[in-house]
Amino acid sequence: MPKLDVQQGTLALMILKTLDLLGATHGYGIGRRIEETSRNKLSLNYGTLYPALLKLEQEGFISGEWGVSENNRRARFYAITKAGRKQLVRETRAWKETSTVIGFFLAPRRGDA
Amino acid sequence: MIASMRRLIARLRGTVGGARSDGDVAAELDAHIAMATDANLARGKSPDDALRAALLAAGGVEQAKEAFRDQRGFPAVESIVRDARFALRSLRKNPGFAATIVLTLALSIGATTAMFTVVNGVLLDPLPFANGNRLVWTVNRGTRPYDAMSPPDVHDWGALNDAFEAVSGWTVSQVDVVGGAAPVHLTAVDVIGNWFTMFGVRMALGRGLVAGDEGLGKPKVAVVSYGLWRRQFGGDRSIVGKPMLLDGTKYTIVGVAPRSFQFPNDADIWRPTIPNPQLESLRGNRFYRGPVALIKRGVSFDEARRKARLVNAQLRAAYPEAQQGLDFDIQPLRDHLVGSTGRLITILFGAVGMLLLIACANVATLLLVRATGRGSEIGIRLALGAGAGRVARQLIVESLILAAVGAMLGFLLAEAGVRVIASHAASAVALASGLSIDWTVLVFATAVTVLAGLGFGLAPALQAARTDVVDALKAGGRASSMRRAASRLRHALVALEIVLVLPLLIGASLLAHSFARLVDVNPGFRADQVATFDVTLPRCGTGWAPDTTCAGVQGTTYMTEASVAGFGRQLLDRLRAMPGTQSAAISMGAPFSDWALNQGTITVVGEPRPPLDHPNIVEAKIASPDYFRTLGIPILRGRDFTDQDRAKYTERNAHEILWVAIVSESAERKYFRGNAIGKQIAFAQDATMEIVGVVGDTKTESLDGRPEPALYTAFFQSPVYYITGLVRSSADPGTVVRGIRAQIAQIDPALPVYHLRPMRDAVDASAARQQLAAGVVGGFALAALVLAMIGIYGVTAHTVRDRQRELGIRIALGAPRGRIVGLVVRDGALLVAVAIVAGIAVSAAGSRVIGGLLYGIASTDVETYAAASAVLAVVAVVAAWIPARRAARVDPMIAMRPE
Repeated sequence: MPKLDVQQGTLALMILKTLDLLGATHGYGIGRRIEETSRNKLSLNYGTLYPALLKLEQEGFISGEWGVSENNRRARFYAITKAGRKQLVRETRAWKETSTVIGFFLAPRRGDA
Repeated sequence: MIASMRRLIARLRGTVGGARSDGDVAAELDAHIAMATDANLARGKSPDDALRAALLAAGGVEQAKEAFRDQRGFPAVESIVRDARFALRSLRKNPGFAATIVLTLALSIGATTAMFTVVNGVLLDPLPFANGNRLVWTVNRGTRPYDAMSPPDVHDWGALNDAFEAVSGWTVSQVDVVGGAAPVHLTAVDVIGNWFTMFGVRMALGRGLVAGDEGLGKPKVAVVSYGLWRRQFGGDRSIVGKPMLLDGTKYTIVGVAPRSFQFPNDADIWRPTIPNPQLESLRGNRFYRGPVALIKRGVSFDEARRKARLVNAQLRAAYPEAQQGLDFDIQPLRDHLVGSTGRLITILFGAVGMLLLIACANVATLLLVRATGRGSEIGIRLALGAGAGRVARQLIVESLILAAVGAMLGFLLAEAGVRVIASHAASAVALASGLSIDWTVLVFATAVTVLAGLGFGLAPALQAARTDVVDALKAGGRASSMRRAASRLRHALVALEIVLVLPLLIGASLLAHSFARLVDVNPGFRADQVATFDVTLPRCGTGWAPDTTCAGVQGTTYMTEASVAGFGRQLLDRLRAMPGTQSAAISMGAPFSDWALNQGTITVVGEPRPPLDHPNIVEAKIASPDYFRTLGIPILRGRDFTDQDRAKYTERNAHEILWVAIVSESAERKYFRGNAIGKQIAFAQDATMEIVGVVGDTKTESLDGRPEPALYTAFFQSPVYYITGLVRSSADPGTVVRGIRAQIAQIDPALPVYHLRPMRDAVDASAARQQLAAGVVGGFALAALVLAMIGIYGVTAHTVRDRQRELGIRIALGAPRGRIVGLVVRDGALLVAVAIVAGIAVSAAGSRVIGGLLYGIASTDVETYAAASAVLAVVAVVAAWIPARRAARVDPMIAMRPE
């Protein structure tokens, strides 16, 4: 089964949603969670995930700190910030609108899907 | 919005190194792998498999770090810095190449910037006064010389034309200032009306002159120039209201002109003119210089000109006699000030533009050759996964570095160049005195540089992007279509260089020939060993309104002809008595000096009166005895003036005086049917004069001018208070100069001597423009020739390397070396021949531009064209021959061995 690549904008939304649900999580955990949630239809590699985390951190939507994992591994834990929650609400609304609109285009007749 | 701002700040921190370190990032990625491995182990995989699976799932570590770095800072900036470092490294490996390019660029950018500064300052800049665009100059297009008007004409010029807001003319007087440490001579400009307001000038101090200042009974006021204020008054800010003695008369200083305003350009002081109440009586006496008029706001130049031409027609109809040979028109003041200098500057700018183009073509050729030489390197980089855009950027960065270094050097060169031009060319270029490199020029230079850099970078970069990876790696990629395209491009660039070099070569040799002929021209007199100087005897009042009472005037004044003649006699005797003097004379205005030209009309008694529109015009000169001997002008027939040619002021009965005059050869031919001696003429005065001598023709103003008919009157019969002394001496110049100053100080210690110089200087100065043009264009041509030679050499060398294997086979098969050389050179020669033909066509098309600057040689002189083409051809063949000979010497075994 070919796996999908993640689009940049949507990855940020997924990360924020994941952190909102799970609380502070390290990069590996975030990646695993996203893969699981997507029922393994998405695959994430470092090159996509870590720059996205850095970008969100730069924007102030998440904050990162070193800590210790459940398996006693040193890892960097990320948590969603207040600004991040607001962003999550905004992004969720925008995404829903977009997918509705796209849906109109792809399903010319109602009820087809 | 806020998010992007935050991101920007974080990225800036990332760029300067204030964010998470690479080590920190690596630790996080390690943790990721460790956790993924743990998870795989938990699923029951072996440790090795667990790690491999984790690494596989995570993607490449290095790519991740790279992507992470991209997000952390500004990848473009960082990679450009990397590109720059790389470029510097690769340039350092090839210093000769880098130095050639940088010097080429520095030369061309420097020359362009210097020339642009001159063009900008002289041709493009607005006139340095607010009303510059509305000001017009009154030009006389009739047969009589000068742009000048009589006082009633100036009045009518403004009063009858409702398109003009103001009209003003001026007269120039030489005045002496007494009272300082040494007497000083100044140029005073007496102006009509609201002079400074008309130009839109804001005074540096005090006020300008107004119409209300004019009149005989008014308090005497003056405005001083900025230069005089600094020089003579030490920049005294409380100068307004202070007195100044001009020719012994007290004037009150009412204002200081700003530094930017210097019109006319020799003015030291401006004074209100003194109008003559009998205005109409002065019709035809054109002593107001080229009146300047201000067009009303909202009125177009064409409209104003139409009306001015109408007024001119009215004047000609109303005063046919006074207006004979006069036909007034207007032109923008800028055009008048720039004058024929505009053409010189256009030529120089054209020449420098060509030089820049040649330099660009040359650098492009060099970079192109280098880029093809680096085909394999670029191919390897492409094969290793570098994007074509990335490689192109690398090449562009390399070119920009070269351009930037070249530009910096060029800017320094330009600064030096402008300083040289400003100091040497101030006499040839009217507005050049105030030149300095300004920011517009800096922008221009930078634009040229960046464009040049991108241009040079792009050609090889485009080529690199088109490079087929496999092709490039395959045995140096010989015979590929890309190679043929590059070779075509190189040849086109070299051809372009040759096409551009030829006009420069031809232009330079035309100008050099012209200059050589000019300085060889015999002006009709011998200037060597002659020193000249001027003195102006102080008088009361100004010009045509002398104040005979001299009330309140201090010092010696010379109000009578007898006193002027007395001074002249004393001066002449003392000059003759100076040690070393071979002969000495006095006159008014030495040839090639500012006062040289003075014209009048004569009628010959017994001949029919010439038509009104074509009077017998002569250059009116004044000479004492020995004038001709001093200047080495041959007396062809008759005699010189003698001490017996006495003046009326010594004679009780003026009727008994024989008024004498001497004419030049061409005047005799033109007005006396070849026989002037003994003829009577009417000239200026009521009395007729008898022609007693005929002398050789002389040029009066410039070496390239034609000698005009001249009439000499005797100084001691009609003395003038503007006196020029001429001394031919065998003593050294320094002694002569000191001697002259000492002698005059003994006659009148308050009298300043000025324009004291060897006559040779004045003659040489008249050819300064041609010298400048010949020198600058010659320099450009030489530089262009060298550049073209480098270009041809580079291309041939490269072609030879390309064909090395083929040539090796030919040599191995027994082709004589001479044939190999011929083979290579023939290719180049054909290209050069075609380019030279094109260059000749371009030169011929552009020859009209240079024609006005040439003397004694046609702008389409066949010999010059042939010689320049031959020189270029020889240079081109030599440039091609050197690498060809090397190719022929090569060992065929080595040549054929694969790289």
